[in-house]
Amino acid sequence: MTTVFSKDGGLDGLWRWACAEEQLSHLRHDLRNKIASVRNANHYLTKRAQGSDLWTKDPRVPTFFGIVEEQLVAAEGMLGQHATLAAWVPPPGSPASLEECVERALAAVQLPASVRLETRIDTTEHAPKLPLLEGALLVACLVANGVEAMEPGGGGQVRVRVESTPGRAGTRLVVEDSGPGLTEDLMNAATRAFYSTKTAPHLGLGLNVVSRLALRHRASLALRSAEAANGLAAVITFPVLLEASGA
Amino acid sequence: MTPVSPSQRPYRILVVDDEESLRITLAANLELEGFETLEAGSAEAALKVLSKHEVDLVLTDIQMPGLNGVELFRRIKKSQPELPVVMMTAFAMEDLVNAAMTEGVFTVLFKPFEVPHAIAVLRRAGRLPLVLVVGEDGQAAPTAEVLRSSGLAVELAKGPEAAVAAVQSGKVDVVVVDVGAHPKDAQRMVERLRAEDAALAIVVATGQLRPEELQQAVRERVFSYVTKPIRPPELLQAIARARGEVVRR
Repeated sequence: MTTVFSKDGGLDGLWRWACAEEQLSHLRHDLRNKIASVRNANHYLTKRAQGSDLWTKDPRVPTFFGIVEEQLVAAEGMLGQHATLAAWVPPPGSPASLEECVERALAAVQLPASVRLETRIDTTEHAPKLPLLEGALLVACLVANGVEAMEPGGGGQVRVRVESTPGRAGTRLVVEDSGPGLTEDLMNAATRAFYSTKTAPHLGLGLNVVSRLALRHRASLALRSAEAANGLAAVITFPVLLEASGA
Repeated sequence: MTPVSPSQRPYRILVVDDEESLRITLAANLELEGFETLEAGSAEAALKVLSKHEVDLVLTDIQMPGLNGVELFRRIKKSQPELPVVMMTAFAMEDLVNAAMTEGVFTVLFKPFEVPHAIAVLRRAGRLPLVLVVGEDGQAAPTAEVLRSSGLAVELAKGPEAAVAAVQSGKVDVVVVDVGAHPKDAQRMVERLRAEDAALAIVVATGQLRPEELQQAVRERVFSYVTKPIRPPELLQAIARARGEVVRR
């Protein structure tokens, strides 16, 4: 997704932060894998060397094996401590209803004149409240993704629905577009970081950011074919609120 | 002790990771501990290995090109539902980790892990341990059923005596205590089960204890908890996380 939310400084700041944190999370992942390989190798070599003359005849050998392990553990610790922007997260906003989040998001997304927007909000007391900017960013990313799914200049429709039912079903936020849709393989690939189905240069982080935001609120993201058209539907399912279910 | 397969051959683990350096170094350490290993660089290759060889446990990375580890687990569950699967990831938090734990994977190891810790977890998985659900019948039986339907081996105990007997059998590694109307009784039972097996993981399902009491118990590793009404995904995740800890007391 190339979209920036320049009409809304708060939302844009959070979007930029989320993209940077997503990139760092992949850097941490790759470095952890490398550290893990070297630690595994060091563990194996240590065990093998312990039974050999090398270990007993030269005291530097066990010391150096120990240094390798200590330094790798320290590097891993530094990675978790410093290769993160967690301490600089912009204020996510005060708790707001999904309706307020949708409203803020739609004001920030630049909609081409050829794209129609339809919203239907059906909330109950069971619907969750989210920090306003986080909730708005989640919706805005999905709407922007829907807009970008349309053929350039071709126009179409984006539908935003919030469905909330009493009982254990939870609340669903559904954003559907009338674009060409995705095959099942592409749907699986679309949630991978740095993956984009568009031909123009894209970061490929929009759905990752959505997924991470959803996870922070114990919700989950699923992609499926849109019901009303050929397009794609992104569905965020929020769990039932504890207070509402009488725990 | 390293488990052996039912046919008395060395216990065989299939290591699946697209990072070759990680895969071969991990396999080397497992062999050093007496396990036999097979390797696959992708989920697709793992499925081929599984169609040709008898395997006792699968240790797989989650994020891989092509089919990911969770999709691999789903396919294994269909063809060999008894085969334990342990996952590994270098991500601290991701949807796939929760999905894996919710669908009945034995546990998830977070990279980089200590090799002895990973081996302890694999030995635990190799014993094919049971989850014991303790509580009044009306509440515990549906909980046990939910866990069974996710592929976990589960036993049900209706009271403290039955719970202690089940733990004494040595087949149980996680106990889910459904706290009924008498939290003090549940607390006494937790202490008694702990006395029987100090390494036992205990998950308490409660709607009654105060948050500070719960947090204190978690800090002291007395138990982890889920709040009632029990949501199956949360309970399955709590069990999988507990199994990844392998506490030595």
